[in-house]
Amino acid sequence: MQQVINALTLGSIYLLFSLGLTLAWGTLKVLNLAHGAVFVFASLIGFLVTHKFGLSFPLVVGLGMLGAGLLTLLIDAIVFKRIRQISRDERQAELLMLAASLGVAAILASVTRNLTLESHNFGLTPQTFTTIPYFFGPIRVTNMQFMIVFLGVGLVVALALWIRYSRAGRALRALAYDPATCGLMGVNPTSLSAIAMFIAGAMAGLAGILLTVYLGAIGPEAGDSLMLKAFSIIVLGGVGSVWGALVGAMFLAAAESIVLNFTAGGYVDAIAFGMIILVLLIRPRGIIPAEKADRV
Amino acid sequence: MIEWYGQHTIIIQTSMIYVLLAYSVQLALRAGVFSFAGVGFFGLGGYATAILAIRGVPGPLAVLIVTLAAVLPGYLLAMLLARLRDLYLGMATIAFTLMISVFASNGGELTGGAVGLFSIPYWANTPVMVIIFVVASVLMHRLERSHFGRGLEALRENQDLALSVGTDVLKQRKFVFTLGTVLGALSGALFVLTFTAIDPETTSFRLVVTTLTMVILGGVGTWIGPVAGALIVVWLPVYLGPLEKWADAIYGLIVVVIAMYAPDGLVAVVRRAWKALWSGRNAKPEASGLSTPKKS
Repeated sequence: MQQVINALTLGSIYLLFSLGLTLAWGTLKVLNLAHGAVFVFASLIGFLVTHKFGLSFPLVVGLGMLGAGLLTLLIDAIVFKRIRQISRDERQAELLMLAASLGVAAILASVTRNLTLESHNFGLTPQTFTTIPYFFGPIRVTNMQFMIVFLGVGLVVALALWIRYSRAGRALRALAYDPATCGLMGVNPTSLSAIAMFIAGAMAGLAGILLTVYLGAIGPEAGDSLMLKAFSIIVLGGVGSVWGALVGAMFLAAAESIVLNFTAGGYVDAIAFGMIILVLLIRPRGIIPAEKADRV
Repeated sequence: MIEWYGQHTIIIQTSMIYVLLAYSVQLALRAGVFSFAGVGFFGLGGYATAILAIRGVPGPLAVLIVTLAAVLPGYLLAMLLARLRDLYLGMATIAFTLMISVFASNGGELTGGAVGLFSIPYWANTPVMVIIFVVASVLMHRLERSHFGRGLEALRENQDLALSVGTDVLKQRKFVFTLGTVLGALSGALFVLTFTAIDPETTSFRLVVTTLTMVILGGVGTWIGPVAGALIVVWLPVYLGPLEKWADAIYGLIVVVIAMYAPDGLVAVVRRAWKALWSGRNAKPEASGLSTPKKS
């Protein structure tokens, strides 16, 4: 039971992280490889503001989300927008955006390494958040775990509802289906993609701050291994599918917890890769495919 | 000249190793196959060579064995993945590359775990490397100009059309994919014998960035692109001096700027400038895809 709680917490972090990635890929056709770096960047903001100014926890979360969201928004508004304009065709645009996002990731990683002065791991100041454990019989649940699961699952529901029922969400789905017609119907792709990218970045930022507090500290490379996990979650759940991401994240976290329990644990990261290969071979559209076809 | 050569031997050798690595990705990208598997095979080949060389296999033989043997896992991976399109393939092959690093960290005595393998017998023979480099370059050139090579280009431009005129698209994609992995393995083998050490960091996300920097910088369109890109990437740090700790950020910035302003790479820019210079003022503006904005 304790393992289930821990897996649920981990799964919620994965979920927050991969939601933004799947949103950007599914609707805007951007595989934003800077997503992991943005996630670490939010922790870096947390590290800096708590060590310099001693801000309170809600403020840190707010700043981290805002910073990560704005950063992703800027990447989209400056880099991706220009690439969409100059590209010959969709494939060239995809490649160039992939490359450019990798470049942004390298810049952010370099900034993080230099600002944390190569001290390998960094975290918030301990007094920012006091972890309170609750005991239900033999099971230990901390207030942080409550918060992570609550926010993770809560945001998934909110996002799914938003995409399904709101005007902007409907427009976003239409954009994924047919951008040209969308423009004719009075949808403004620029502002819409800005909103989507901001949400994606803010959720990565939230995941970054929460994971940093949960683990105490993270390293500059934490984003890389999360990218690998997010890939497998997206592939399992189907690109662009919010509920799929939920199922994928929880499944991956459960599988990892089981392996961690029965082995020495070194190969935990291999599960994500094994899952990618397996799903691509057996069910290339993911377990819960979004409405859109022709993905693979 | 001799003195200069003595001082820069290792950089000259590194340049050739990196050109091979860049070829492995450029070859695939030129045919519209988003494969970064060459980077993973750089690590795979590097580790295999290190393991052989430490056990007393002479350097040249180890390179030969590893390069030839790479065909098998390369082809297996191609069968598994070559079907995938665009972003899916990019993601799966990046995941594969990250996986190699995971397996290397967990390989125990065989791979030396997180520390990696070191004091590998040194064997880096510039004349032999020059020969390998020239052969590979001639091959790349032939592949570009031959009937077969032009078929590969058609693959990128319009897969459906290529299919309709009788090209076995899947077979060609597999071929390109496998050739890329072999080049990657060869490059990794030479790398290990030059630097006499390898660790899991060698094949991390950073190497994907470096490789993509070389390819995007020079340009995907022609074999000269990777050569120019690799030369810049390898020689730039030599002149960077105190800025060296920002090297990653500088690479990242280069990739972003190139992707935004010269999507066909520096070689294409130079060629255009050259043409403009020769044809003088009366020249018509060249019909290049670069300057035509995409209608959407």
